[in-house]
Amino acid sequence: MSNRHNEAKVNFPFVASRTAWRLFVLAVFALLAVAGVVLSLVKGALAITPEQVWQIMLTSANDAKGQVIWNIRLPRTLVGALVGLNLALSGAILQAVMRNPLADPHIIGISSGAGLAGVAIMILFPAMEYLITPVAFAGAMIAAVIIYILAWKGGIRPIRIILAGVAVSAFLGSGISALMIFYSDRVHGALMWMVGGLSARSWPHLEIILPYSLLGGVLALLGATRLNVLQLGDDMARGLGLQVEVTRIAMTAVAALLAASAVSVAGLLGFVGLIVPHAARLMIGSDYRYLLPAAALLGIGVVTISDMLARTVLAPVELPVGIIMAFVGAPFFLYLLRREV
Amino acid sequence: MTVLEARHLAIRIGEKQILSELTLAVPTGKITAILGPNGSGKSTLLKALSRVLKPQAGTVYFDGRDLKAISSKDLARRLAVLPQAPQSPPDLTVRDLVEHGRFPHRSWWKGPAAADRTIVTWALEQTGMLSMAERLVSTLSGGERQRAWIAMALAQQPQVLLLDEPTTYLDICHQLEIMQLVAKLNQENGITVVMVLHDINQAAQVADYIAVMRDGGIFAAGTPGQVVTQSMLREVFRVEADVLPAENGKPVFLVTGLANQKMKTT
Repeated sequence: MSNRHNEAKVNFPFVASRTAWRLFVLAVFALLAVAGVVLSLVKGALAITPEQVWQIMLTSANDAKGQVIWNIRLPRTLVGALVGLNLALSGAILQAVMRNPLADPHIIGISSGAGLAGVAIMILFPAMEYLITPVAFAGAMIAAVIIYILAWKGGIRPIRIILAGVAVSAFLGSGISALMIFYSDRVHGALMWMVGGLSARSWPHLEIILPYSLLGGVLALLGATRLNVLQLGDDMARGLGLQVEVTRIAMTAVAALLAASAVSVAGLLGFVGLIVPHAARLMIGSDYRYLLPAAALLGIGVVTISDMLARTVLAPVELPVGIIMAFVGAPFFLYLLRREV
Repeated sequence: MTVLEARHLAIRIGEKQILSELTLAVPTGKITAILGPNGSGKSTLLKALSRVLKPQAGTVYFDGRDLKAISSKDLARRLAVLPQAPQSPPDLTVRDLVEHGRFPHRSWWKGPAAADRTIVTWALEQTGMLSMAERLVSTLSGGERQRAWIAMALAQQPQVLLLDEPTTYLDICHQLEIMQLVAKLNQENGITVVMVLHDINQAAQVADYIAVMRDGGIFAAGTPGQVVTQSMLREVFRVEADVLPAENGKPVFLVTGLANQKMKTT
């Protein structure tokens, strides 16, 4: 044995052990999530101090500020938090299931399916806008199922899913483009939705997404050990007694439900599902028992803070949150990537 | 006594028939080496024996039971398999890796128990990896990495260990180290070992039983002395060789040239 083997000890900033580092990162992400939620409640067109928010929450006061908090900011913040949680978990799961770092909710057709369904409603039946969320959800799930069926050939191989996903997404994307060109006078709302945003999201949207967040979150955490084993490759995972096909199908379904419920209420937010899991992985490592909660917390923080910025930066104009996230998040992610490698 | 037995196996991958009418009985408590030229189906046989691949025809028996009738986790508690060049996430430590070996012993709702930790430590000790337990697998040398993977397989507490070319890509010293480790696990822990090997002389030294494959079937099987012969080397590997008895009674051969027959055009 040569000497170099004794050098390569892993060092962590601030703390002695890896477990301590992971808990530290989780604590930081949790703090970020809480900060995001609080900032999102406090900042906006109407100035409300944290103390006032606290009072309003305790007393359910019914003055103007109470109205703003209860009817606008609180539900919107919670929807944003769950959207971030869902998309981040979905992306993290898919990266393990597909064994591909570029896997995200787009890959399994969620975005294109929801996109076509949502845009069709908005452009062809603008009077039925209340149907956007359920129809987009249905579109997302149908696209995911179609991709799965197309990719099935005596079992599921990730690369077949990814290729089928790219093809189906391109096909559905052409439908979206066609609609937008033929009805270019009605494109504005559709465009906003394609970029993704949380404006006017309220309690009904929360009711739609909450069950999926709870169910998906629990199932994802229960699957963490299995996702860890899956990262050793299919043959090795089979050798360890993991039912690879069953696991892959079940976890893909969980990821699809998480992402479909998120995009159906918030539109096609890109970025969160791809970048947040990576950012969390760069910080905390690839053990899914830690990575999943870390990605969920970071997702909450990123979406709530981005939405707060989207509402306030160019006030009174409100930007779609998707633009803010990509604008601030992509450079930050590149920084993380540079630092790591 | 046979712990693992294949009867009339046939495996086709796509249009290509990889194994056909293959019958092999692996003796309990021994080291069995599977030899054969490239493309003769060695790795495929190993995958069929571990149920990573399902045969189109024929049956594999584990302890007399049809492999299909044993649950995935139950099988993983009795039989461990290491594929060629397995992969792991870049930030996985040796201890993390070995803990994965406890996966088939755990219920899905429970985390690792104290007993699991004891066994993980034992597996690290057996393979000489205890001092490297906190190192990242991705920073290990080839030989160390192979030992880490063997430690993971050992943590499954298997009766049977299947290894696919465990010494390929290693230098001669580390090859010997792995072979000695395998022999130790076999002798001290009574683990039946089946391994695909490339080096025929190495196989003859370490194995009790050798199966030679050709074109998806077993060409010959028996003790090294029975199997490693001039005629086998000529017919299976298409080389002429002098087979010499080694000092310990196991055969050693020296290649003297290509066998005088028409070469397959590939």
